[in-house]
Amino acid sequence: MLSILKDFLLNLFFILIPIFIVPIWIEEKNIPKHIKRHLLTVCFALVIVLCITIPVSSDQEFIFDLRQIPLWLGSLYKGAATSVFLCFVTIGYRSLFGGTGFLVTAITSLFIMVTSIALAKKFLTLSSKHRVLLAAALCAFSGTLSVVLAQTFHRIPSSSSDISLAYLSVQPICMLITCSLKEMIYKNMALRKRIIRAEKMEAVSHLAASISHEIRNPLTAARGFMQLLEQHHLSPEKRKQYVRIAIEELDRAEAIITDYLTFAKPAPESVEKLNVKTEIERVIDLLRPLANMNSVEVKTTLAPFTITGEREKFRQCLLNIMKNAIEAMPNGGVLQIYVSIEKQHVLIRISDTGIGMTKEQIERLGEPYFTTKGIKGTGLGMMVVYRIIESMNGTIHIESEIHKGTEVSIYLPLSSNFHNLTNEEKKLFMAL
Amino acid sequence: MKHLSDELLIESYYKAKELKLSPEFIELIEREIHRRALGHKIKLSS
Repeated sequence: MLSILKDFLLNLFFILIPIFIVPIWIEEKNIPKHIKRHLLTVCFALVIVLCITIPVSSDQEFIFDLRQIPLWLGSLYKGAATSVFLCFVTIGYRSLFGGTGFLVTAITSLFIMVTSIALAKKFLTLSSKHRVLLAAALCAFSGTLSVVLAQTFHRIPSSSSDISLAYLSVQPICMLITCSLKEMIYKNMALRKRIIRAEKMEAVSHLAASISHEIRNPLTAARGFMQLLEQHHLSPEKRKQYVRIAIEELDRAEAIITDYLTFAKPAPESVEKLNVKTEIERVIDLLRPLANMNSVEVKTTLAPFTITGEREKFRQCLLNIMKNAIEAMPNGGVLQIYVSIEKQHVLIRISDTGIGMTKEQIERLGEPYFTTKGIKGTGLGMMVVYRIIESMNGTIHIESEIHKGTEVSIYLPLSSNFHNLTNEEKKLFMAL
Repeated sequence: MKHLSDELLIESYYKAKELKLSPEFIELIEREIHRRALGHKIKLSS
């Protein structure tokens, strides 16, 4: 009995590996979308093959293992295409071993495929608890079906009946464990994503004060010039100037609002090529009101290198760092942004002349809920920065001196190798 | 406001005062006048 349990545990181990590792790996690394989509499917196919190769028990006719679990999971969570693929992998691989069991496998696999295709859409709309229960119930049913079929086609020898009994109870339990773990990991990941979004909203709401201040000025000016337009005895030349100025001021207000809203609005998550220069410029535009309010001067030395990443996240990362820099200079100062290239990496250096940090503070930077801003800070901004830079395969380096200022250096891999650089980039590269 | 000629800027300042337009608007014009280092012109004549 103990040896059976051992074999079941080994099967369960095969199933749990991809469920734990794949989502974490996908989240940490910058993997193209088409690979992301198929990675879990391929892993499940491998697990099915492994389960059949190292089964719980096998004889001439039958192989008992937990292959139905990855088959169900893949089919229910990933939809029809995966379902068909996994079904054929199971039937195809099982056919190599022959025996009556093959027929049983073929029938149950087809049953699982058809049922899951019919249920998949509904399945994903259920609550997580119901998903776990339904999956376990389906698994129990398909397990029973295969044992019943095995009995009908070929009387199972008495030595195997112990196993088939154990199989009937263990498989649903394993499914219950696997499925709850999968749901737990999924929930955890969703929570992390939500933290990043919440942090962004926090930044957005902080910016709101400076934005509203910055918008009021052009609106006041436009209103004033329009009132001046109302006077009689105004030469057409002056009238023209007033109208032009009023329109300009309104445009400025509109540009500020547009910048702000583009940032605040959620954007699709897609990995693309990003121009470091344009992205930095956009973020500076967005922060200009805050910089003005703190009388911070912004100096830039930018170059249009290309990196790969999610636009929205990269901007958020830059915004968090620059906002911290500006907030570290309540009495004004200089915010400097410098872009260069070092060993196939793009270097973005953001330095301020603010209050600086102690060594201990730098060491704790990036820890969730650690903040140097007292009750004003959430302690999530730099954590989000670290996470985003890591996900872009970059590194971050911080130097700071109290009352002198802080220097944040970000190194991100250059997206193209030298031969694929644009002419402009090549010239810059040569110049460095 | 940068494209307004110096002359018209000063004129607008006085008109705005005369018409009692909002103080914020007058302050904005004043700021622009000082930015252009034309401050002496409004001080001299006021």
